[in-house]
This record gives sequence, C-alpha cells and structure tokens, in this order.
Amino acid sequence: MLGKLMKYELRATSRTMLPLLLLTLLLSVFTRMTSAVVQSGHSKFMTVINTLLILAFILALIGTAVFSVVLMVVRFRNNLMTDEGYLMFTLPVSVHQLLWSKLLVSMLWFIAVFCVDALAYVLAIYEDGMFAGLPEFVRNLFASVNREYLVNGALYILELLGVLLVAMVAACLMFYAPIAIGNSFATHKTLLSVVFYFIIQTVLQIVTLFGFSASVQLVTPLLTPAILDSTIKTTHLLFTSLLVYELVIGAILYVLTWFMLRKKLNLQ
Amino acid sequence: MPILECNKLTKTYGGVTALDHIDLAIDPGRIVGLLGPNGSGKTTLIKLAAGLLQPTQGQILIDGKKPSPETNAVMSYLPERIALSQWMKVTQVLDFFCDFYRDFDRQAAEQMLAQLHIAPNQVLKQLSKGTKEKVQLILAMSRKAKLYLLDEPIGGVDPATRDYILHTILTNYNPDAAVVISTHLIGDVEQVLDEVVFLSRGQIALHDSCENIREQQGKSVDQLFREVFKCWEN
Repeated sequence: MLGKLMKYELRATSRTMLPLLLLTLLLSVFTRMTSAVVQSGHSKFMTVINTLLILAFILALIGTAVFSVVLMVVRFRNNLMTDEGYLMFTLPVSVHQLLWSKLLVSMLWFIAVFCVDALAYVLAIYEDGMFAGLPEFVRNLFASVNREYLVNGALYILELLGVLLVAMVAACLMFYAPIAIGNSFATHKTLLSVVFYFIIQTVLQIVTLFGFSASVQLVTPLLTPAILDSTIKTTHLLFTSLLVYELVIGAILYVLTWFMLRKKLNLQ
Repeated sequence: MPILECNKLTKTYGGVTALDHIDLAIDPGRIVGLLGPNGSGKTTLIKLAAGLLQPTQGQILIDGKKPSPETNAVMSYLPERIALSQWMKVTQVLDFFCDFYRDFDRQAAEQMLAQLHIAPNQVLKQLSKGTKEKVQLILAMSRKAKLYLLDEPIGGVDPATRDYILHTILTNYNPDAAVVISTHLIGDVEQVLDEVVFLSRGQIALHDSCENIREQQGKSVDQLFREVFKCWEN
C-alpha cells in the first residue's frame, strides 16, 4: 500500500514540480546560448536578453528549492488536514504509511531539485576543460579517505548521505508535527499550527543547547591528538554526532506527528 | 454478530458532549436511517465508525473490531463533503479506488456514471457541486462492502437525482451488508429504510423498525420524527 500511496503522491506533486524543473533546465540552456552569442559579438540587445535570462535562471534555481519545501508543507496540510483527509484517513492504510509516503516523496523531490539545479548550473556555465581536474580530485579524495578512515571511502560517503537523508526527514517533520497539533484544535487551526511551529523550534533550540554542552563533555575525552590531527576522523566524529542528533529529533517529531494523526485527528 | 456495535460510546469536544453513552447494534442486511436534527450527533457517530475520531469513552466496533485499516477495507464511507482531489479526472479517481479497495467494482461505477451522463475524462474541478456528490456516491456504492456509512447522501442534489440515488443505494448494495444513512430529509429516504435511529442531543431517542412505527403507532417515520423532536424542543 505504501507504493500505491507514493504513486499518487508523486502524481499529485509532479504536476507542479516537473514543469518547474523543466523550466530551470530550459533557462540554463538559453542562458548558455545567449552567453555564447554575447561573447562572440557586440549585440547590445543580446546583452540585455542574456542579463535578464541570467536573472531568471538564478531565480529559478532558488525558486525550485523554495517551492519543493512549500509543496511539502502544503501537500501535507491539504491532503491530510482538509476535506481530502476524509478520504485519505479512511483508506485501508495505516497512519505510518500515510506519513512515510509524504516523507519519501518529499525527499525524492529535494534530491531531484538538487540534481536538476546542479545540472542546470553546469549547463549554464560549461566550458571546455572545466572538469579536466575532476577525476584526479576524486581519486585523491578517496585515497585520502581510505588511508585515514580505516575502512574505505565508500563508507564515508554513506555516512554523509545518511546524515543528509535523516536531516531531510527531520526537516519535513519539523513542519508536519506543528501542523498535526494545530489541526487537532476545533478552531484557528492554521494560526495554532504556526504558533506550535515556533514553540517546537524554541524547545528544540533549548534542548539542543543543553544537549550540545552535555555531548561536548561526553566527546571531549574521545578527542585524542591523533583524532584532532586528522580532518577525516574529526569529520567522522562530527557526522556520527549529527546523525545521532537528527535521528533523536526526527524520532521524537515522528512519534508526535503519528500520535496526533492517529489519536487526536479532528477534521473540520 | 452485529456489523456495527456501540458500547457506552461517548464523545466530548472540549466540554461539549456530542454523544452520550450510546448503546447500538446494527445487523447485516439492514438499511438504517440515522435521523436527528442538526447537531444531534449523527456525523460524530459516523466519523467515529470511520475512525476519523477517537471515542472519549466506550467503544465502537466494526465487524467486531475497533476502527483500523482492516475495518476500512470492509467499510464504504461517504463523507458529507467532497473529499476527492479536485485536480483528478473522474477516470483517475476510479483508478485510485481500484488501487486501494479490493471490493471496488469498476464496471458498476462506469455504468452508473454513464447513466448519469458524467463523462469519465472530465476533471472534477470542472463539475458542479451536485455532480461531484454524485461521483462520490457512485464510488461509495460501487464497493462490495460489509458496511456502508452514508453521511447526508442526498443533501445537495435535486429531487430527481435524489430518487436515482436512493434507487442506486437499494440496487447496488451487497444484500448481506448494512447501510447507515444519516440525513434530516426523512420524507425522501423513508421508503428505503428498514429501521430508524433517532438521535437527540447525543442520545438515542428511538431505535425501531419502520414497520413497527407504521403498524403500532399508525404514523409515518416523518410524522413521528416531527412529533418526537417537537416534544424534545418544548
């Protein structure tokens, strides 16, 4: 059932995300083309067009990223908390499946936006020989990681990806939890969602502050000169701490969101 | 075993009691009218059965189980509002129901859509409110469920369509299933009901078969409803 939910979630979100990503790619191609024309001649008209296209392109790069976050929030609210919730919560699926379908599809769009924006950026500024040094850089990076990180570079990359993925889930839940709490009230649902967003943010900051000072005391004895001397090992320690932090925050927010949707659902 | 059972079911919103210690059992094969004035607790009872609300006290059971994804699979719920995604085409909504409900009969749905002249390739947003309600009812009635919960199924449609909807309910439901119809348009639904539950201020004022009401009291359900609720208001 999770697969089916994700299929419809993708269908609903791709209606706006796909045209936006396509537009970004098109703008990058047009920017590249007009830049080439400007470089080869002295047309004032083309210079103006090129400047406008660069501006539109930069806006598209930022816009896709911002929009993917806005869409993540709006989809959760509209599909689960408004009239559509009457259908979604009476499907033969669990609240866990509903939540994960939203989380996974949001993550997918965040990754797609990153990849498309990166590709568009490269397309817009590409010049011959731009990536000549890249293979050597990657080889050196892996060699250094393999030498200092005991196991292998792949694990290091996995660790980084793990932190990013868990952080993405936690970031979504940072919005889902207050919306779920705010909508459990009879009136002022949107206002209360905003209020609870700030309450959760404040509580998290306070807890993080105390947690940070506690973990500094915990981690300090582990910081041997050998570790401090090695950038890779220090980063490993940082990644592990971040992973644990994001996992704990994510788990708390997930349980909170699940509980509100399962036990305190109050659709208008 | 009753298909829908309430034991001391209570629901309060803040300090307001919407349902007050309700005991109710509805058996398979019955079409039951859940009748009462506005605010009597009809929608609350149906939302509790659909698992959209949690009881404050007591319990509600569907086919012997608490509301869950498992009971959702055997229960067909028609909400009192349009719950479908408005950007979808009618045919996409049929795909959606096919995907999620094993008991959904697509052919029956397509046949009913054709009878009501609703084009499957139309986007829901383009349809009138009444037509969207018809689509939603067709979807709910095209399932071979054990329990149908219909919340105000005839509220927003014209009298001719009302007749079609009641005919649809009568001819399309699984005979071993129970149908619960919540409404205050009693005169229109009376003809299809086997029994009625009168809800007043969160309590059951009457639960009887339509036959008994007509034979023993010599009144139509509509007449009795007007009398009962007039008394309660005074």
